[in-house]
Amino acid sequence: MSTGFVLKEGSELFFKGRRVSFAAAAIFAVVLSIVGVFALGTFYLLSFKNEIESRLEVVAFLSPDANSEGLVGEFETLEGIVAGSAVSSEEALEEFRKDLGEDAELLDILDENPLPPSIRLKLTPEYRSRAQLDALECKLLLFDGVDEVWVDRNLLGKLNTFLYILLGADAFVLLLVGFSAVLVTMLATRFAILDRRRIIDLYWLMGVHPRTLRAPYVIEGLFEGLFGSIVAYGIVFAFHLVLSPLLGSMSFPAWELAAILVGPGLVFGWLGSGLAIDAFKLKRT
Amino acid sequence: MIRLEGVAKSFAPDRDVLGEINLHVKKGEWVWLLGATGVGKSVLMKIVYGALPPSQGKIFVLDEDVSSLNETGLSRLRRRVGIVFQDIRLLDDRPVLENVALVLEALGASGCDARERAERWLESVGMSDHSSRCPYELSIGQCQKVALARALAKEPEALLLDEPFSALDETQEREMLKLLGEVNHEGTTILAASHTHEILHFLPGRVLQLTGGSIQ
Repeated sequence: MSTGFVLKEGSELFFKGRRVSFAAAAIFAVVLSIVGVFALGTFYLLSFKNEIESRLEVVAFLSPDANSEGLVGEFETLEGIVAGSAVSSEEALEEFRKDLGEDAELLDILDENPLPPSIRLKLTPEYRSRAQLDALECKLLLFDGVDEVWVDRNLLGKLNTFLYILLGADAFVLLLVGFSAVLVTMLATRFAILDRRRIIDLYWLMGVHPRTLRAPYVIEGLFEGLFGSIVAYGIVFAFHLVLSPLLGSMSFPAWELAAILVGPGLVFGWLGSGLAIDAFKLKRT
Repeated sequence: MIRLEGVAKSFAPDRDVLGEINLHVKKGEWVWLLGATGVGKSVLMKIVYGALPPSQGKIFVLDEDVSSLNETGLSRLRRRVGIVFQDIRLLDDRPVLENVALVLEALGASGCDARERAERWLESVGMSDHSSRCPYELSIGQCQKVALARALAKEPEALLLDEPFSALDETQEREMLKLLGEVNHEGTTILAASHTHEILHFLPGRVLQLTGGSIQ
C-alpha cells in the first residue's frame, strides 16, 4: 500500500470536505466532552475518597490497666500501621466535651469518666480496604489489654459503593456516546464516499488495490476522532477551571483525561469509518 | 494475451448487444475494432477490462480468467493494463500533472517517481505545457491526450483504447498513432476501438469490423 498516497488523500478528504468533516469532528467533541466531564467527576471523587481514607483511623480501646505506651510501640511494628498515638481516658473525655459544645454540661452528671483509654492508629493506603481492616482487627484483639477495636467501615463502604455507581455510569455514558460517535463517523464517511464515488471508480478501474482505495477514509475518520477529542479536552479543562474555586487543591488529571478522550476518539473514528467502508462495495461495472 | 471465447452480452432478454464473440489478440499485436456508434465496441472493451460481466463466455487477459478474479485479483490485473476510456474520466479539480501522477502514486510509486514519469509521458503526448492546468480548461482533444499519457505512464503490458482520438484533428491523430506505434514496437499489446473509417488507410495493425454484435 502506498502510505504517502493514503496519508495525502486522507488529509485531503478531511480538509477538502470541510463541512461534513468538521460537523463530524464537532459532534465528536460534544459526545467526548460528556465522557470527559463524567471522567473528571470520577477523578474528583477518587481524590475525595483518598482524602477521606487518609483520615481513616482504627481505634483500639484498652482496659484501664493496660500499658498504652508499650502497646503503641508494639502496634507500630505491625504491617499496615503508619503511626499510633495513645489517648488517655481524661484526654478522650476532654475531646468529647469539645465535640458536645454547649451540651458538654450534660457530662457533669456522670460520677466517673466512662471513656476507656485508647490507641489511635493511622494506616498505610493499602490497608484501607475492608478485608485488610478485618484482618488487622483480629490481630489487634490478640494483644493483652485490648478490649475492643473500632473501625468506621460504613464510611468506607458508602464511599466505595458511590464510586462503583459512578464508574458504572461512566462506562454506560462511554458506551452510549461511543455508539452515537460511531454512527456519526459512519454517516460522514458515507457522505465522503458518495461525494467521491467518481474518483473511487476511476482509481478502481486503474487497478488501485481496494485496501489503498479504502484506507484514506479510515484516515479521515481518525482525523475526525482526533480533532474532536482535542476540542473535547479543551472543553473539559475549561470546565475544571470554572469549578476550581470550589475544588481547593484538586489538580487537573491531564494525562489521564488525554488518554480517556484521545484513545476512544481515535477508536470511534476508526470504527465508524471502517464500518462505512465495509458496507461500501466496489462496483464490478 | 487477450482471448475472448464465445463472449455474449445482453442487458435484457430482447436486448442483445454482443453475439458470440471469439477474438484472440497475440502478445505484442495491435488490433483495431471498427464499427458504427452503438454496435457494442465500448461494451466489449468494458468486458475485457472486467468492468462489465459477460452474459456468457470466457475472457482471458494476460493469461488471467477475468470473470473468476476477486477484487484483489482484478486490481492486480488492471495494474498491468492501461486504458483510455471513451468518456476520458479525468479528475476536474486536479491539475493535469496530478491527474497522471496520482494514479501512479496510488499504484505504489513514490511521489518523485510518479511525478517524473507523469512529466515524461505528458511531454510524449505534447501536453507538458499544460501540466498545471485543470481538465476543465482544456479541449476534449487535449483531455484525450492526457488520458493517453495516464494510461501509458503505468507502462502497461496491454493497452485498451476506447475511441482514443475521437476529438483529435488528423495531424494530432497521426502523432498519437506514431507514439502508440513506438509503444507497440516495444512489446505492448494494443486493442483499440474506433467508430471512424476515415483513418483506416493509415491504421497500423490488424483491423476487425464489429457489426450487428459480431466480428466480421
